[in-house]
Amino acid sequence: MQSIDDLANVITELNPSEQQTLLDKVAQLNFQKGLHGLAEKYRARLTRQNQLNTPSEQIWIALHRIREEIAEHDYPA
Amino acid sequence: MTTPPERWLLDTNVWVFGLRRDASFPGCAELLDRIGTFSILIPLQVLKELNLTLAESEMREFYQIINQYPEFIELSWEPVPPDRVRFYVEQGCRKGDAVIAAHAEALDVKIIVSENRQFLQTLRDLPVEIVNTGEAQTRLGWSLS
Repeated sequence: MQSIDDLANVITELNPSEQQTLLDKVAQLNFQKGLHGLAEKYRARLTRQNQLNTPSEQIWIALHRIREEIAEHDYPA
Repeated sequence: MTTPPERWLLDTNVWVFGLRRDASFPGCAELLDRIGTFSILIPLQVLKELNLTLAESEMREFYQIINQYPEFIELSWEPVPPDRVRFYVEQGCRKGDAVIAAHAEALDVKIIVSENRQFLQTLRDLPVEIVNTGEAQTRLGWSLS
């Protein structure tokens, strides 16, 4: 693997638009890495709670209930 | 960083099925994996729903991630005008879905991505378009080509 200095030298050889594309890509990958980590923790908790394989119909029921409860609270008729 | 040109509102179900990596809705995880090629808005109603779905530590981590990337993700803590919620209810939305549509309208988001079939079938000929994750990916492929 290249050292950080070597990598920096390679990057400075790129033109500005390529550097920007690279920075955008690195940011996107870092974001995805964070989101994957969160998904793993969420799935691990659901596994511990025996809820990871909950049928999607039940998840929909819960999502609809939560949605309507919040809406009724925030925007009463 | 460069802000992506497409700006969408991802419905709560896309987040939940995506983070669960639910096999019934593979498009949700696939779409989350492409955030950055499009930017997203998370309105108050979705934040509240996620807050009741994720554990406290998971929600904290969620905020930490999204706060690092304001170019990709915008949070809105603003409620919507009740008359716009009523408007979408009159169009046939359930109240909760009407709140989401009103958020999209108020924040000038033209596309809501959702797997909620009833929601998908409700809105026609309005400024807010609702698409499922498959249609969203097609759109993304088209816009990137």
